[in-house]
Amino acid sequence: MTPVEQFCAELSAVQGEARLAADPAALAGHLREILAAHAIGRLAHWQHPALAALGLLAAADAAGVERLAVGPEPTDQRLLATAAAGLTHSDLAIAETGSIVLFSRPDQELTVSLLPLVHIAVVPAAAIVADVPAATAHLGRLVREDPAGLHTIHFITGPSRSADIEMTMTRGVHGPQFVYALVYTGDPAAQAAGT
Amino acid sequence: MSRAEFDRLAAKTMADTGLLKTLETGLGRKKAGRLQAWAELPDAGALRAEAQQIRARVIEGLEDHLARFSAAVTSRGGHVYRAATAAAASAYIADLAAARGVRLAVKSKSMVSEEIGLNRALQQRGVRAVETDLGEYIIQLEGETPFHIIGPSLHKSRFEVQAIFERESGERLADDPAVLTAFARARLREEFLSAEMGISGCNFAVAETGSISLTTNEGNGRMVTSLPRLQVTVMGMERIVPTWDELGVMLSLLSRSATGQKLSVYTTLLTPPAPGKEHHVVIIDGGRSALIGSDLQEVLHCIRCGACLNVCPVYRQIGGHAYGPVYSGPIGAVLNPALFGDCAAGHLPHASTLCGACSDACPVKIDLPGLLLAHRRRHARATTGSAAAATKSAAAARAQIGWRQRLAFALWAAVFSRPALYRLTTRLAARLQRPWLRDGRLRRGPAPLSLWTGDRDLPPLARRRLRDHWSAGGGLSEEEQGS
Repeated sequence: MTPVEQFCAELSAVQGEARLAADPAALAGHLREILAAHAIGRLAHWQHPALAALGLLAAADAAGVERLAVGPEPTDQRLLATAAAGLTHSDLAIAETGSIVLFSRPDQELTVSLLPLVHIAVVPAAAIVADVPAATAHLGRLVREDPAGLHTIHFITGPSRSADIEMTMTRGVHGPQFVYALVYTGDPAAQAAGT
Repeated sequence: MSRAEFDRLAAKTMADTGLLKTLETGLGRKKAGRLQAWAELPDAGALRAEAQQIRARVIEGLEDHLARFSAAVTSRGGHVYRAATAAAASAYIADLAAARGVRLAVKSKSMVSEEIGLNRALQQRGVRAVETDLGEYIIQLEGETPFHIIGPSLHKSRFEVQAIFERESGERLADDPAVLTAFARARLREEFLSAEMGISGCNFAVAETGSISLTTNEGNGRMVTSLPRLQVTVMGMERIVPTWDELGVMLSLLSRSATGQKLSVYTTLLTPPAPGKEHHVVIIDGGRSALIGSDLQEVLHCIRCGACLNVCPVYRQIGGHAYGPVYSGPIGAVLNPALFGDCAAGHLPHASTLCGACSDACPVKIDLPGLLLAHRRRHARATTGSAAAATKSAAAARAQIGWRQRLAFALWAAVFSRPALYRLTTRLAARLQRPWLRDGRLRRGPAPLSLWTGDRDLPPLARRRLRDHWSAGGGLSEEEQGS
């Protein structure tokens, strides 16, 4: 199994959903489908250059969704909490566990991936590492270089869940009930064009 | 918590057949989940051995690691407070809240915050502290303490939760866990957005960078650490890992052992303070440093996954509350008397069969039966220290045991110490047991055996005893070995 295949299988095992896209058009198609499936009215998103470069913001506009661009100035969390979906971009993902890893950056308000009921993350295929020790080794290097910049890192492994009532699994306790990874296997140049 | 309280709370769980069934099936599922998650690792044995060594090395050099961790946090403008006692820790946090004018603090689940009685200390300073983990929220509304290290509300049925939430909201709610969860989500969302202070625990603290790792499933830990401007982390002083490499090993084991997940939903790695936030890390000793160099040092290796509770035959029968307000199960039976003293918990190390299921389940291979025995040795030394104390404790022990059990043991001793009588009795018993056999098992035995067979059964005595085989010079047939 390739790391991409394993990532997708593991994410679906924890009730998330991974969708593969080989080019920006396919990526935008997935986003439109997800926005429509959940009848999203307001989409909060990072100002990450790749999201625009890959045509995702244009796709949201075309779908008639109201966009809430978040950061780099401090975020009104109450306003953000009114968004039904949040769109982010992952710099690292873990094949072994199906985890999406998000980093704190001035223009990457992490609550975009937490407050809305639906979280959609773009995951470049090249960002997928094999396992948790590989991820922590990599992150250790980054944090040693820039501890203040990387003040917060989240591994997100599927939808928010709890088994606190009679050990029955329920989803969307405090965080998202639905988690999508749009795994971009296409030309990194299309994405890098923005960065 | 006294021995009498232990008896009362243990009896309460043992009389609750519904709860016993929940414990049997639910904890059985957790155990199966852990075993499967371990089996999926390339080499779980090697990983556990590595984790065991990491924990042992950390505790050996704990002060150096703590100094490094603290220096990293303070060099970035974070605050570190080393609290010698539980009271000092909760007073520091309560004073901080009062000084900053905090009215509402949101908390994510933290066992050490239970240990230091933080909610009460905050309340006394006029600060409302709201537990936001679903299970903790439920038991906070009930004024109860956690039943299980990672499943605080395990003992509550959906109908009880429904009643609790209906009382809290004045609304009618369905008894569906999904509906009840949605109610808690809406209720607590408002608290997250209003709170001035966020209080969270710490699963691992990385010494080299002064980072804090939190493992959660619901997302409340993320809310608590990201929304309020004033941040407090409470951690036991033994939570340290030296570097991010060791963190990777421990994370690979923690969720698998706790819930059977490869990784919990959220692993949050904070390297405080975040911009615009004030962050205080409160490191609690509370009796831990006194264990270093003692025969109980190994208890500090624990990573609080709860796996030992899930497999413990005693925990499954008596539940979590009998162990006291904070830590339960085998780890609680070792930790509570070590931290809170023999007066509060000295009886707990005796409430164990020493079967060893706990150490088999422990991801860092803590010798829990060995630590329970260490407590018993200490207890024996302390109680036999003077003749008066010995007499007193023997009398107390006799009073606890009861006359029927004493009679049973007296009979057993009389028979077992006389070979001829023993031979005769076992031969007779094998013949006379028939009236008490049901489906090939010994059930509802005659008094005083009925004390045991009241809620358990025994295999019947074999017609040919081991001594018969032995004197005949033969081994067991295959059929007899299997039976």
